[in-house]
Amino acid sequence: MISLAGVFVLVVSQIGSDPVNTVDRHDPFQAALITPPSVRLYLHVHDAASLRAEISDRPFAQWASNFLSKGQIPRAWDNIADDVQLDAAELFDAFLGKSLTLVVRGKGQATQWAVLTEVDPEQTKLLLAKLQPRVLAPRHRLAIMQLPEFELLLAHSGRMLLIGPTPQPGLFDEMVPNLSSPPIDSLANQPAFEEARQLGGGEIGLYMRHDQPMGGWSVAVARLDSPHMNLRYAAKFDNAPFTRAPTKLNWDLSPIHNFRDETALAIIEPTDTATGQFDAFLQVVLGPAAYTPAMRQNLGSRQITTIAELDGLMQKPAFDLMLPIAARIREVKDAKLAWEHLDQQLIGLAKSVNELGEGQVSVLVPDPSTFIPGQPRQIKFGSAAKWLFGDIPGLEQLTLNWSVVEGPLGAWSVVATDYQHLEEITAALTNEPVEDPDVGVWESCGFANGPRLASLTRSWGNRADVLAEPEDVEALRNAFLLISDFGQGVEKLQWQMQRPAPDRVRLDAKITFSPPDSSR
Amino acid sequence: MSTPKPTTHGQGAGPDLTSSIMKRLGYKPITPTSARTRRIRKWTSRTAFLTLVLAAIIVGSKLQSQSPGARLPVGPTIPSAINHDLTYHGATIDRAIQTIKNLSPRFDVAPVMDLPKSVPIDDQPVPVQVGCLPQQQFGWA
Repeated sequence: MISLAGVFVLVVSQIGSDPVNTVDRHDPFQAALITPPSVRLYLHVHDAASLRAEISDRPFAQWASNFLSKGQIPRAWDNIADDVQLDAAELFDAFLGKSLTLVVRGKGQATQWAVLTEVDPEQTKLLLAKLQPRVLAPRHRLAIMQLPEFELLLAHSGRMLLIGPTPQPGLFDEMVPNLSSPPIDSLANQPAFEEARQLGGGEIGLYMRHDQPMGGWSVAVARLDSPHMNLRYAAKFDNAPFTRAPTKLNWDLSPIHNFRDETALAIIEPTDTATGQFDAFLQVVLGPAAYTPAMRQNLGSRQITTIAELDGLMQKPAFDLMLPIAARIREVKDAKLAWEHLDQQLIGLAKSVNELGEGQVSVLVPDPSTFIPGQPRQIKFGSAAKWLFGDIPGLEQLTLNWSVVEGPLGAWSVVATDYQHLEEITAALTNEPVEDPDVGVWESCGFANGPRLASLTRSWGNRADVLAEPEDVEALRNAFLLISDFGQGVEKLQWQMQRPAPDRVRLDAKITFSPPDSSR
Repeated sequence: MSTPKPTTHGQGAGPDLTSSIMKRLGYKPITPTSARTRRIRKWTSRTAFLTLVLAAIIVGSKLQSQSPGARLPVGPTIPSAINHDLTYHGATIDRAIQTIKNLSPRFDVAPVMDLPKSVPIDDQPVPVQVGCLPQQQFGWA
């Protein structure tokens, strides 16, 4: 049996050592050794006080604070802070700021939880003196206390403090003996933790068991390298939420970097698994004619989808809404063939929507003989868009534009819903690569510009009345504003996703937090 | 002074001194009526005492709970707040996702390249499943 001192050294040396020296090797899953395997959520945060201080004045923290303030936890925390005459942040730093591990078991009213945290013994003595806990019989050489007015149980020994709820103390009770003698069967023995250890070290570690029917688990490790947070994620599913098998293509994702400044969102995917709403729409309208065998044979391995924003106030006539504009960019083997295929496909689309619209749609079908070789083409698609999507401001100005580009990045066909966006995309594709090749069996890679997406979604939130039925307007406005506020806090998000097996996912992401308002 | 009655015990039978001895010890015979009255009085007093004690406990507990030193939860506690917020915030995010999902038209089709190579592609029916295409919807890519 390992002594209490032994376990203390084992756990606290991992969760409470000097952050400056140990972040590189910090294992956020160390406390899983003393956690029962039945928990469904495990969250470890190392040096939470520094993390809080680092992002406290950034818009992301403001978003999180606003979001959480609508719940009851801040009020409950304030109640304790008032009792010990500290403010909420000081109390957080004192009790949870060094190293905390939250574990949760069960759901709904049967939810059990416990928090294992590292504390300063002297400071804790003072705080406990103010809280005047009821001292219960010691268990497993740990002092057990109760705070009836806060419905909390405490198990304390030196720098280690275990906190649990009085109403559902099951998990707390189960963990108390584990502190002095680690169990043989612990959460760390679960298959997920084998994968978790391969994610490397970091200040934040997360394990989550998925509910059925999806089943399986997710693990993630995050490292803060201010203002960036690097996230590594892995998941396994009993029933994977994908309708397609993983890609078999080995491809280079580096062309996506050429779109960094042109778009609010850009995603690059392999063509054997990628689908998009535009291609789906083409297949619905045109049926098998949407993609002929020749078109398929001419496809390369990569597809890029971009989203940008069109400010209605800058248009003539102006309208008070930002519209999303999109482009679908496909790698092609033969540029000349791609011109023919695109002309055939999009002229076919114009004819079909005219027929489907039965007089309500009047898309002018261009005569291919008037096309100038090598020049972008355009169809005014406004009447079809109005017919399809309703009376949304600005839709009457929608155009379908297409072109084929050859350059240092290869040959690409481009279809965009705005002419200026088409020009930006074609310019980006003719530039030299901005990053070195990065070849892999990627499932999806991309980046998002938070503030640009935030402006777009805020605009939709403000005009939810034109997008939804009256009874849904308020819900839609709230949903868009929630996303908008979140986007404002994340200056940039980049990700790379792989599926090593049909039931597995690996994701690397880099989140760049927006700077504080004061520094802008 | 009465003559003691002879006893029937032993050889030297004497007078029965039981009654006088018991009197001297403080016991005297009482009538059954008087005994029942005393018994009733005794239980009445016991019941009254017990009632008083219980009342004192209840009143004391009430007073204690209203005193400044009471240790009952005031406002939300961390356990109740965690239970509440897990449900509340989860529902908020689910509602937001569902609202936006309902807004965009959804088409579910096969990827352009994901077709069996052994069969001529033209003969393959395109597996198209069209969701509803409502008029008042938004979204493109």
